[in-house]
Amino acid sequence: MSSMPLLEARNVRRRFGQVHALDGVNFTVYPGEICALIGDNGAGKSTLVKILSGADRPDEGSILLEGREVSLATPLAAQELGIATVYQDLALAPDLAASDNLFLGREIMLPGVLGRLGFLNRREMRRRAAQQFARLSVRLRSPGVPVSALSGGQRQSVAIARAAMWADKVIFMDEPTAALGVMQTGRVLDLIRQVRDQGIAVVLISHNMSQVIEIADRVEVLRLGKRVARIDRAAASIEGLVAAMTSASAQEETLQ
Amino acid sequence: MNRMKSFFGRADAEPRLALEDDPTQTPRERLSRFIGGGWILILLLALVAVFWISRPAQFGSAYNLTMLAVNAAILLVLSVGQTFVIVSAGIDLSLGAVLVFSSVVSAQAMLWITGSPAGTFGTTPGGWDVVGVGLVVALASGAAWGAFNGLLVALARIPPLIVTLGSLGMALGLAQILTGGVDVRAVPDLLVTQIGTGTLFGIPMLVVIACVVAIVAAVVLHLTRFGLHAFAVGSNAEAARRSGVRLRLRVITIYALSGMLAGLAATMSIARFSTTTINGHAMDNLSTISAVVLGGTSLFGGIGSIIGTVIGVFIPIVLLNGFVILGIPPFWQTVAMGAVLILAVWIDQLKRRTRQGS
Amino acid sequence: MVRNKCRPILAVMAAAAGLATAMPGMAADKTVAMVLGVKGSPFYQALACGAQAKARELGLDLTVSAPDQFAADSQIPVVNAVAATRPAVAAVVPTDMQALVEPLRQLNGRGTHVITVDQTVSDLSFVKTQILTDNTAGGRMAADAMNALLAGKGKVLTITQPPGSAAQDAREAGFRNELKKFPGISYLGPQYQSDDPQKAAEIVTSTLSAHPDLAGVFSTNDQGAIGAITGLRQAGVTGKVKVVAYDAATAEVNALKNGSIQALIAQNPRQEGEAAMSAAAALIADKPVQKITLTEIVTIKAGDTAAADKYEYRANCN
Repeated sequence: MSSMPLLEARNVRRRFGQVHALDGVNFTVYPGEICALIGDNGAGKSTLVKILSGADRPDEGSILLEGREVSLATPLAAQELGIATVYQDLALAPDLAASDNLFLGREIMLPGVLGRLGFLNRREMRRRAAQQFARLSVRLRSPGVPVSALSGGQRQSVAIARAAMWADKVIFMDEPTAALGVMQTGRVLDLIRQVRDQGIAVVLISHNMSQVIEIADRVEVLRLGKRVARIDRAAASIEGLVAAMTSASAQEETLQ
Repeated sequence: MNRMKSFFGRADAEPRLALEDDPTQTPRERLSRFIGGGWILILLLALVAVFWISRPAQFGSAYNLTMLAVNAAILLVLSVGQTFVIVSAGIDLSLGAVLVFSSVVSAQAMLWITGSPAGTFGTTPGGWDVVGVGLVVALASGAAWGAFNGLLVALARIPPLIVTLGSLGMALGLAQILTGGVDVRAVPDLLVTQIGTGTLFGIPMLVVIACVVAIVAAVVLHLTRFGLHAFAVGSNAEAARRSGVRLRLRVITIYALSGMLAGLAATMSIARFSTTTINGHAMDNLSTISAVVLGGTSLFGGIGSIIGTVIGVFIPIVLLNGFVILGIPPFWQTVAMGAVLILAVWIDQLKRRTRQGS
Repeated sequence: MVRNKCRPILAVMAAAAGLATAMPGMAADKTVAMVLGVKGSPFYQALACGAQAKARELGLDLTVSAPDQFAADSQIPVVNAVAATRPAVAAVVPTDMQALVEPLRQLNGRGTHVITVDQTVSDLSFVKTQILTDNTAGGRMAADAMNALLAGKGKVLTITQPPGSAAQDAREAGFRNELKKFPGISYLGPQYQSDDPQKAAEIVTSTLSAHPDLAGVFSTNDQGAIGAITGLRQAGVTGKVKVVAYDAATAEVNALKNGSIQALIAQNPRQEGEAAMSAAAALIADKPVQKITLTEIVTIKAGDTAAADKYEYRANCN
């Protein structure tokens, strides 16, 4: 494992009124790994992911990207720096085709005057979308149909493929397989591995411990707004993970 | 061919790969694709055929067919604007009132430039420069009302139904205040004779204008980023926002465009009737909405086409014309129109349900 | 599958076309097309009834159409469709005196004789005859009736449509000018509502607040009258404030009988319809016609039940 963290949160605090959602939390993700972020309800996982992807700002603490301190003012700013999030609601436009969704907000224009007038280069977008899907081994039954006509698993794949297209460093995924059946879950996990193999780090929020064990390279455990454990895949077990999430120990443990 | 199909709302043209968890196209799905795409055209052709066969010399005469197109022209320009708004999941009830207001300020401006006093009756000698100014005033006034609508919808987050209902009242009221309720009855002669009744290669100018607007709109809606973003905003505004689409700017621009087209329609209306028609255009907002919905655009946004709107505009016009020619009592036409509209919305629901099938 | 779907559709189309063509063929020389001002108006329906009865008597082939709204953009497509059928005569109630000029001129240009009924247009060069009522005289009659009811003294309000409708403007002008003859009557002027009884009621109640000594209300049409008596009833002054109303729609006749309205200025739409058909027959037979035919207006006083029944605008042709 490379020793230089890709994205790091140091001593981040975030309060909502009286509630300390994040109470001096640390978090680290290394390049090219799948890191699972687990914790019981209220541990602060969603808040942390929001802060690390630019959807929220910390009250205290710092965020470092490749060792340099950064300020992520908006999700778009985070995207510019290579950080993207795949939300639970997927944020796809159901009536648009897969390639249109991939390029939404970053459409390719025709060259020359037509392009300046706003004419889309659909052929190029379709071509590159096909390339991206091929790269990630995503097979859509029909690339031209509106994504609402695709199955849940395929929609998830399109959302992940889009994130992977524009974010070259870290992709956050919040419960990506929560609504999927067994077969589709398997495909999405394969896709996540493909994304990692492309060199993009993936941070996965999940409540499914067996899934975490199956796919994660490392696990970071949050409890009550603090990191309480960092566990390598080799040392991970379901009982161990659950214990870490619910344990009463105040010290941060690292299990390798 | 694919482009033609997408014009009709059918995007699937490529062969399918069979994967285990993929639903195959059920017969119901195939039926709804066919219905959504082509049924409205078939309905129109059927109506035309029935009327033509029963009264070939009357319905099918060159005069009548030309009049059908002229009567459709102004409503089509309005409906094109409404299409963009509804595609983006909005709605614009103020179109008729904005048309009336724009026609009033435009006519008054032209009158003021030619120096004729307010109560003048008939046509004025204003040249193309006067007509040009009148057009610009109408377009600007329409765009301003549209932007006003868009700002309230995008920034103040008030539902479009309420906003445009409010601006309907304001625009109409202001038009009546500006004129004291009396129509401006003196418009430049050029406007009436060259645009209102003039022709280009035998086609009435009003029809030419409507065609140009429809073609440009279709190109913009289906081939440009602006059109794609309109669909995206209607399909999932949040997704569009997260993707970096400047949501508020898009919404404002779409309403401004719709308003501007109402301004163009205002100039066409003055040209056609040679007067402003303050008490007219009262049902135009609902007529445009039913035309757009009949044409296959979904009221929920995200799906739509200009060619569908064109067909949707012609259906009530052909119905009315045929009924009058056949001498059918007037109230039956109202019943028929209502039935057709319900049918169209039901089919829209059918399309929506098969989409959410997976 | 598509072909299977087409067959039933084609069958329906053929049946519909067959049915439509099977309608009795029209003899081209006695066809008369009438275009009313608006659908659903008792006045225009009574007009159509008179026309239909007279047409039967004269052996004319009459079709009646009407637009959804009393507005040019609604009526012109109907006029265009009528023009496509090339009737021998067209009797039209023009909803706008300027906008209808061109469509009527086209009608005339295609060989149809054009008659205007009840309203008129600004260019009469192609109009063979006009059937009109003298609205100004009607306004004068209303003023005389009001003066009699108020015994020469009191404040009077007019409820009318916004300016621009020739008939309504003429009624209000006739009323206003005749009132000048009666020094004891103070005229508060016209207030506008567009066929909106609700608005008319509000106008009356607001005026009563401003002028509690309001003595009389004149309404230039039936919608205004209905609204006015509602407003008076809400204020509890029915019968105390005298109402003179134009037209004799059923609601107005009932109001006259139960004392909410004191006098009606009734037109005779049936007579207008009959006059239109007589003129049409004359035009078809190439006989000369008068330029203008005026139909009667009468004042109906409270208590004159016979007259009220006679002149009531009945929509069902009895």
